[in-house]
Amino acid sequence: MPLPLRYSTAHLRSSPGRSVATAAVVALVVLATALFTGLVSGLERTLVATGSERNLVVLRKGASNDGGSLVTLEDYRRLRLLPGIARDAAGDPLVSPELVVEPSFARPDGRRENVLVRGVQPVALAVHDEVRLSRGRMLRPSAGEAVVGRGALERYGLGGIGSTVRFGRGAWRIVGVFESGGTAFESEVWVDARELANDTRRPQPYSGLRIRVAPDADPALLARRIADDPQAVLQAEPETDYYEDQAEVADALRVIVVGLALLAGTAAAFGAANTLYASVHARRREIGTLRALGFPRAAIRRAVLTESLVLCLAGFAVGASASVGVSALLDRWLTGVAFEVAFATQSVALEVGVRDLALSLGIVVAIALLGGFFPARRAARLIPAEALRRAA
Amino acid sequence: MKYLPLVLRNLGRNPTRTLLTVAAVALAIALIALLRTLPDGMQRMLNEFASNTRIGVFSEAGMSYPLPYAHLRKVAALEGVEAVASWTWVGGTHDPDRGVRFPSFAIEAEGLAGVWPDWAIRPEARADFARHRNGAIVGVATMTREGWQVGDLVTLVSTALPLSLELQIVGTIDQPGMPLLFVRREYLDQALQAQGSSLDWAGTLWIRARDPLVVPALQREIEALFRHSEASAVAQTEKGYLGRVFGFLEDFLTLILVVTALVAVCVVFIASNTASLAIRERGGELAVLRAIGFPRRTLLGLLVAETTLLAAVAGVLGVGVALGLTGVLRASSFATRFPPLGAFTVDGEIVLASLGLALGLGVVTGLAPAVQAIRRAPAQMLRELD
Repeated sequence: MPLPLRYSTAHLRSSPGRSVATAAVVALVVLATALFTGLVSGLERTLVATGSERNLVVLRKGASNDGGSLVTLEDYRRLRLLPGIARDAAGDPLVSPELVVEPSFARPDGRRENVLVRGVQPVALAVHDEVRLSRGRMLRPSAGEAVVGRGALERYGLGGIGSTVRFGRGAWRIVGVFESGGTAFESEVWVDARELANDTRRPQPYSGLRIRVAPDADPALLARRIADDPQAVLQAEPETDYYEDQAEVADALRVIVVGLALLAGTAAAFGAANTLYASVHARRREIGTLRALGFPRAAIRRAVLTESLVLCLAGFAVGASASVGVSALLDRWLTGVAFEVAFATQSVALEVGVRDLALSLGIVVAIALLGGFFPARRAARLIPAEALRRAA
Repeated sequence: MKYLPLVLRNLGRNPTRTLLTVAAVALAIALIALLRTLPDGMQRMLNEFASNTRIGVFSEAGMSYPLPYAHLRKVAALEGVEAVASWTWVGGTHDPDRGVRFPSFAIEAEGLAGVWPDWAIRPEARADFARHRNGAIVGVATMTREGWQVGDLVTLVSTALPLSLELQIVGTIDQPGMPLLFVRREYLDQALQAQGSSLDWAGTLWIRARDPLVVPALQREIEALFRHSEASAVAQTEKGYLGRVFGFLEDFLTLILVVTALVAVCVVFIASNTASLAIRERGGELAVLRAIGFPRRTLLGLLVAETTLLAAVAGVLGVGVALGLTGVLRASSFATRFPPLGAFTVDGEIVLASLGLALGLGVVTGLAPAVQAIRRAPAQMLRELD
């Protein structure tokens, strides 16, 4: 016959200070872990989710990003003619020549950061189909106009449509704001490619190309054709792979998170074990009585483990709700957490999601079982007669 | 001191609890020390690599914007300037399939000697770099990673410019962790000229001032000099320059600090919980000691000594664990993936801070329940015993 759940919870209430302290440790571990995993999943959401499998990123061979790449006008003209490229309604190939530079922008607090500015032509909007203008319109070539990502608009206090954004040597009028569902593009500013090339005094107008693959064509085949082109020294890879490579920093962070969770979780488990040992010790007589009444060892063991679980889950509940609040506060305060990805600042939303909480929950259950196992075993092994005698 | 056996006996009476507490606190202290190495790695890099006489000058538009090379001559003519050099990004790789794996710059041979006399480069290497047009000087981190030897011939394919350079490695920069590869600016210029263009720009200009005192004035002078030119420039001390290059890490470091603080609060809870457990259940015994004439102060000292000793042992263990873990991390490839935070060095300062935290923790967490326990009248406490 099992002991009722109330038996376990009543004991927690009998020494509230101790229970609260133990639950608080669990809550803090949850908070620390969830904040970190929230950041890692934010990074992954932003970078790994960026790009389309149907888009190829064409860069100079060996270049790991647009910042250190160069594609000549001739390369661009030749590649446009390759078969297997999607076309728009007018029959023009969906090839977006782009120039990426990283000029420095000032944050409202005066700190300076490098921002990814993408020089584009109007075709860019058709190739990057995840980018949608939420306000205003697309920029016109050679008109000194810019469209800005929602994240960049906020982070650098750029104003809105009609405001002027200054960087490099020039100034551009904002005519539109775009969104991309939280992916990397939202940290960017787009202007006319030729104007940007003039501003940077760059002899070659483009750093890379984005090519939309025709619906019936194989992206891998097109990528191979570009890499094998004898005249150009270029490489092509799916846009999704490109952004995954940029997310390398997320892997390093994941190692830190796992280490953090392991160390802090073990410490919390030891703390919980301490509390439970004391709790078991304080009611030896009671446990002896229960055993004398005929409750089996398993019932005692389960009751102590339940006590541990209830304690830790209470900690989890507090820690989880705190992590949602604290992450939102930190995110507001920092306006996203900045990472440098390919020399440009990528702002990542710090948001604790369901997946992060599920991971913390797993850790908490492990803490509860690890911390409860040995005290439960000790309780179950108490010999009724002896426990009754010694406690008297 | 004569009470030490009693303190030890008290700690030994519940070995499970003592062990669990020591382990929990030690782990948490180790974690704090480990997290502290991250912002510390940043500070360390700034302090180790930065000299107080060097000034970096880059375009106001951003570090990826070029400066006219003519700026270098104007800067060199300023009063108080000892030597000048320029860095121009080559973005080179010796294996295009694997991408750019180290930063490569073009530099003047005399500039490297004049502006960085403090770098650990052998004099013969400096001389060879000046003598051989196709010479390259490479940081030890890159030498090791690519498995290169001095004397090796390397083809460096540029990703930033449409050319490749045939190089011979003539020397190394023996600063720990140094990844940079330098080629001669002249050589890069000739390669460009062969294609009908030329190198009339530079990325960053570097200046070594005669002494640190003239640096602030020089910074102002340089910025004023180019304010109305076609490319206005920012002049920063080497420390400011590196701080700006890695400024994007600030937010992340803020988060690390928040998490470190959370873990520190955690230790306080764990330690105070144990202290209160240990002292609470000893009420009867304390009452007896009081009744037979032990003064309050002695008992208070005994209890606090007990928690402090426990915390101190945990602190030493925690620092030991942190030292071991960072050693493993440093030896793994992980550190190189996370520069400049991945230095993972637990230095004296972190050791002292961690031990201080542990000691403070022991005193504070012991004091509260101890004061509470001995304040009560012994008769009252004895009566409560069953």
